[in-house]
Amino acid sequence: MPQWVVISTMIIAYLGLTLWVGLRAGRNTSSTVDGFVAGDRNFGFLVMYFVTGATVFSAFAFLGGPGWAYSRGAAAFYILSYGVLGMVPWYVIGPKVARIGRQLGHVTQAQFLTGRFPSRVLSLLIALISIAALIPYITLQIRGAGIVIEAVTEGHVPLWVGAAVAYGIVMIYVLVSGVAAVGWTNTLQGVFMIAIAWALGLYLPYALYGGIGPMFEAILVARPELLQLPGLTAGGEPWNWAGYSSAILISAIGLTMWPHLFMKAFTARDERIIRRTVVWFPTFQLFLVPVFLIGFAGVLFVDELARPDFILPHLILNVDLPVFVVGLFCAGALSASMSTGDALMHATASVAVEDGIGPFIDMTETQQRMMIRLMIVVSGAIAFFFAISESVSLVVLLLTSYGIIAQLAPAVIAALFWRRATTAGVIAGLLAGSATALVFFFQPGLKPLDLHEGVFGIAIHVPVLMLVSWLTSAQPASRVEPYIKSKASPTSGLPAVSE
Amino acid sequence: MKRFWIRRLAIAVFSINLLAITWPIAYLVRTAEPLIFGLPLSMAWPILWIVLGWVTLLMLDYFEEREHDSTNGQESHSPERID
Repeated sequence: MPQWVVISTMIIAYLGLTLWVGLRAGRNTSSTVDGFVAGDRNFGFLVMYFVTGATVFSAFAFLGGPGWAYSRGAAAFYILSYGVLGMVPWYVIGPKVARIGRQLGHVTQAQFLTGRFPSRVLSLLIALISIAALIPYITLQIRGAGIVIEAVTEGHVPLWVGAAVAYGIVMIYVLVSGVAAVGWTNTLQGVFMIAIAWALGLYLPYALYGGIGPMFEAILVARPELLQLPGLTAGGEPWNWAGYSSAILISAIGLTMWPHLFMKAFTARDERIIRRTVVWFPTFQLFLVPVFLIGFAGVLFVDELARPDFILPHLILNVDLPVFVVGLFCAGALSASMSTGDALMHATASVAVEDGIGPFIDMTETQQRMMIRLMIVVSGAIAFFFAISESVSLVVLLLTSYGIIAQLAPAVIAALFWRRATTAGVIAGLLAGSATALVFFFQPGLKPLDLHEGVFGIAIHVPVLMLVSWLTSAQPASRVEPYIKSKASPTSGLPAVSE
Repeated sequence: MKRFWIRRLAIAVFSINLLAITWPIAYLVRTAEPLIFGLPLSMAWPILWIVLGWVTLLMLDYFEEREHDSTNGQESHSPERID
């Protein structure tokens, strides 16, 4: 039997297992919007741990991570650096968001913000920002899945067929079981990702160089510039410290503001589970270590790959690994892609319906769930179309979307910690911050310093938010109370974490 | 009272963390050598901070929970903690 047939069989078996888990997951969830979008707020620690970890680490981490290490060297260490810092504020914010969501019935980020700052414009604005950032993200996941399948089957299964099959399955389980499917499949996929990354990350340096130490010694002799911070740019020039440091800062601010992660606060059974998820997140973050080792393993073995994102499939196929290992690698990469893709599609559809359409058109619960399912198909179809038609600019779009998503952070902080913040202030800040980030993204020549454009966005956002809030009249106490005095509320089982 | 200090300590650790992995402190550990457990110094440094962050969070959470159990134990519930 040719190798690609064996691998295809393994992929089919793996996808079948995922589908089975996804379909079973929704059996005990209620047929409500709360059930479909927030899993009846009943996720336990184990599921929350894997949902958070597997959602954060996407196809970009599994394919792009080794690609960065291979082509840009130490620059990749910024990804290693920001994760824990980005997650830590969630220890304080996550439980508050969950508690307020439970009291006021929120299932999305915009509902949480408009609960404090009532405005249909704000709701629509957040929905538009979210969808604009999420669609390119989904596209990259779908493309990643297609690339992996095409590569390991030696082209017998073209990109579009592989992507269609993998994401057809994602769509089926998300449509049937909602967020419960996301939770349980991510648990399966998270285990796969971690196990396979560590296995390959330790195996490849030994197989190719005789160990991790000897590998880096060899790289140090041949390509010393690769291991020196802050590494190289995509063009192979030395990167600068301002770019490296501000990328860490803006990624850390933006991390938990991504709607598909933020919304998971509403799925936790209790606040304690969110805190434990944050506490254990660093163990998931260490998954990047073997991922980078894989990329470095390619440095002296693969010459000048035109598309560094292909380093992992390329290396896997060219170092004569047992077919079983190739199949496992493929399952790991698909896990990484699908565990983020499902959460993204689910979040995009929920946000579009609950925040984009909901405030303007009255819908019953049943209609809302129908609409969300419809939007899952629509967003999946749009992303699939982008994924199969080659467009490089999507990666660029995704990188800048971090700068825009980070603009949601001041609004969330203001909602939870600043009594004097007003609706007008938050809308003005959001508009000013996003506009600033976009201007500097499209006109990098205007930047006074070579920092990430999101940093300039935040620098404009915060003063605008404060100034406009002070100029407009304060909110009634009844509006502020659930957000800032929530520790006194009788329904809260645990004391607030902040002082 | 203990909780107050543990929180201050956690905030301090994560502030130092941010400074340590960005310019200018990261500049001091920019080189590959010495190799630490086979890893270049520039890579071992952020890994060290992941581990330190984890230890800090474990400690913070341990004290938060203990304090909560002793002061708010009567207030109510924490629903089942096992998955």
